[in-house]
Amino acid sequence: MPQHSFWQLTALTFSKEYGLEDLDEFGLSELRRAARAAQRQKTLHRPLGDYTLPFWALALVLLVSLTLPRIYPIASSTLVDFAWYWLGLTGIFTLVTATDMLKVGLGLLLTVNSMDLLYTAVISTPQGSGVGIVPLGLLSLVTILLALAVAYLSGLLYGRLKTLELSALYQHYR
Amino acid sequence: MLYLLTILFPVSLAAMCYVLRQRSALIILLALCGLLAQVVLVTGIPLESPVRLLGVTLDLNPLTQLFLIIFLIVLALAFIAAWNLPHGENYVPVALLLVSLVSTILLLQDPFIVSLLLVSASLAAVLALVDLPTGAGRLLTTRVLATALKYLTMMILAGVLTYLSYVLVDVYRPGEAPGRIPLARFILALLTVGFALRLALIPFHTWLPDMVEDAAPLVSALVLTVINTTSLLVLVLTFQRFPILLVENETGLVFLRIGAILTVLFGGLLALTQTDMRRTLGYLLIYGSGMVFYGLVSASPLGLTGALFEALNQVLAITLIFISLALVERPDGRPPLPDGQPRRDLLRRWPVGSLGLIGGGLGAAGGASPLIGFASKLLLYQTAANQGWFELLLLLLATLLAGLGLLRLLRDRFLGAGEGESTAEPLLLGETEADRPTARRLEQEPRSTALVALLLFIACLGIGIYPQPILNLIGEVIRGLTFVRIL
Repeated sequence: MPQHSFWQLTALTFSKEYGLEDLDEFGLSELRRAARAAQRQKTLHRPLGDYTLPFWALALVLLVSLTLPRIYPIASSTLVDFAWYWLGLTGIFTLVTATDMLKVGLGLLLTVNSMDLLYTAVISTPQGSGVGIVPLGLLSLVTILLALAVAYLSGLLYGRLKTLELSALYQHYR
Repeated sequence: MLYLLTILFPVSLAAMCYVLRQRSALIILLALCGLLAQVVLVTGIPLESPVRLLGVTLDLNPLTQLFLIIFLIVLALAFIAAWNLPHGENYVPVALLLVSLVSTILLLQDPFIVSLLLVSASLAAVLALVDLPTGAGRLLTTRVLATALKYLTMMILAGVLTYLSYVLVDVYRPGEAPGRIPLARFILALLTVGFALRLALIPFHTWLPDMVEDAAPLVSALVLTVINTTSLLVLVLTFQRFPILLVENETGLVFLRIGAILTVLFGGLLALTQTDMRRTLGYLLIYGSGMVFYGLVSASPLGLTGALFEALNQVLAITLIFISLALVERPDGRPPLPDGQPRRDLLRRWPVGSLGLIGGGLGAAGGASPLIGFASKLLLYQTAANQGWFELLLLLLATLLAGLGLLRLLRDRFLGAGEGESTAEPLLLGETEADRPTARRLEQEPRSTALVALLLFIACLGIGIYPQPILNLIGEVIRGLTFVRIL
């Protein structure tokens, strides 16, 4: 239900962005067709099998995140290594198994944040050059910009196809 | 003060242009004046006199100054061309924002901050990719959205890999823990994949043909000239700052050279097999990226001179190609051909645009004398010959494939017979001139844009005929690079 409300909110926002009053007959009819297609898609039942791949991907990520800090330690403590490997790998697997645009964004944000964690943990050690205010500020700025870019693209996708599903994006690839 | 102005002035101008974005002509004029002022600022910065600001060092060397000025000139030409070409309402503000980001990147000496700024530049470019002209009565196509998403994902992954490599460089100390992959090799591998994604080297190239095919030509030009060339300069500066990465990885360099050769070979081959004009151009640009990368990873003064000169040539040639592409794709008043068939008489219909596209393509891909790209390719072939005849042969084969791809494009799209041209027929019995239907007036090339394309073509020809001043400047800079001397 909350996801549904989010979609409605996004649609409302981005129908304004498109400027519906500027669209010609063809554009408007395309929007109506997309809305009908999205409506049909929502009623489809999602089988349990769809969760098999993400589940095993998560199990694999856990295993790798526990192993890598021992095989290839980078930070000063195993715990920190586990934390950034876990975040980074979760991000990559989210990206690989993503079915909608917001999940792609989530995967990218997780990966960027794993680097943020590694930077803060490694640079502040005695061997590192010390945490600088400019890199930290820029790291946060990149995270915010990335979130905004993904939200903007998601809004455009929803405004165009009335769905956030990537399969719909490539189905309409023309 | 000059450093700060160089960074902040384009940002403030971009903000102003964003507010006025619906008044296209006004912001183009404003941006042109701003770029002129930026050229004055960049030339006013004293060379090689570093300053510290908020804990980071800012410095400008002759090479970065040269590239910055070239970027500003080609952007100014692109803005003039945009006067008569369709472009998104955020194109000018985003381009100005990129000017600021690129100026900061080239002034900064901290690789970690630079990699973050490169990611920010790519994020800004995504906004330009999904842009529509003011008041456009149509929807954004799903292809553009898919291209923007692909570009965003690839650039973030590239950014993450380069972040990671720079963080590791910071804590790297010679003398490795035994039994694991040497850190220097790991860092070089991360850097290579990161920059291969940025420079669209095969097999990390998929975003580039899609972008060339789906995005507006002026936006593709912006990304491929400003962002990609800056990435290449960042890679050179990284090697200069951390020569140990190359010194400890001589075998790695051989693999990188093989990767570059595969890129030029497959780039040329794929260009030959395409049927779509834009995709052919996309693969020709991948071939060009491979050539530049080959020169860079040869890590010799000759190869590096060739690589940097080729990169500079490509900035001009790519701008010419995309402005010309936008010209030849303009609707000219004729009805579309059945089944969406492409027109084959582009040279007759759009002479200046076609001349620019063919000239730019021959220079960038073929390295045809006396066009731009000839001297730089000669240097790259000489570098390959120094490595062995087999590498030279492969590079020549790749160039042949790319040249054939371009010739095929020429035959298929440019040299066909004129379509829809009315021929003078004699008057029939009882017919007068007044009875005849009015002759259809087809659209002509807009003068300002055609003039820009012509200017760029002349510049490409000029540099091709007399490359010595630029070559001397690049040679001087390269003599000062430590990593080339060490290797």
